[in-house]
Amino acid sequence: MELHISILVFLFIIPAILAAICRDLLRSVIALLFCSLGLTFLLFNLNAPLAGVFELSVGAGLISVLFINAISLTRPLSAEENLARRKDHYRRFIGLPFIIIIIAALLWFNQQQIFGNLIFKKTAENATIGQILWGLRGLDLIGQIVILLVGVYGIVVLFKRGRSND
Amino acid sequence: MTNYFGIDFMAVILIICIGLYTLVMAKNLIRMLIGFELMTKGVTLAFISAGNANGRIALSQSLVITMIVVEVVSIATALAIVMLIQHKKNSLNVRSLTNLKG
Repeated sequence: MELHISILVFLFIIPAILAAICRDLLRSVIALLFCSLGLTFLLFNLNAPLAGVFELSVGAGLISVLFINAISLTRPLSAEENLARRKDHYRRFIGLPFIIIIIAALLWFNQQQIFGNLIFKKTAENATIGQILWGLRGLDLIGQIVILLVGVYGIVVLFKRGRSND
Repeated sequence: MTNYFGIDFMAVILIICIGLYTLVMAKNLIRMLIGFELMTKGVTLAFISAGNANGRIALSQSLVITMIVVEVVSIATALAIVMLIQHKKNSLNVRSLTNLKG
């Protein structure tokens, strides 16, 4: 079981590193999609199926579509610009895998000191997700509706710009 | 002996480090948003693993659902702003945004 969750964590971390390192933005977004997929598996494993389904449909689906749409609307680099930026990109991101390996090793060998004091008291939960979402919340629902309207406006601007470029 | 909570939180710290590194080192605006997205995924995992550890998984799931909605909205709005910048400057390089520089 422990090996199982370690594999899932690797499926979550490796695409995240690739998303950061890949020079091609489209490949970065595809790696981000796989990272979302890994997170979904982890959420299912941690007894959170509803959050997992939400992450799969919105985090992996909608956000990837938005990113790919935005990338398709931007100007592609010319061959000279591409060549000039390649070196600079890899020089900036070559340190990331080493930093991650060092942090992971430090966390792994000091986990007893770091995580040993994190003791959680198990409490019984009676309310369902629906009761918490719609029963416990008050005025913040209005704020969430306003945020959703802002998102709709953002998507309208995004797609309007695409039409005018055609 | 390793517990699940430790492994989950190691993943959270690593993914937030990856996102922060991308956010700091990237020059491309879309890549910066990818870094932001990675950090929010780390926060999502932190909420759920903490909820799983203390037995209040329904509360953490409802918080995560709200957070994912806000995350999508912020990405959509940020991408719209990025498209407007690209239209005005014909570049996605963050170093070219020097209009407010004194």
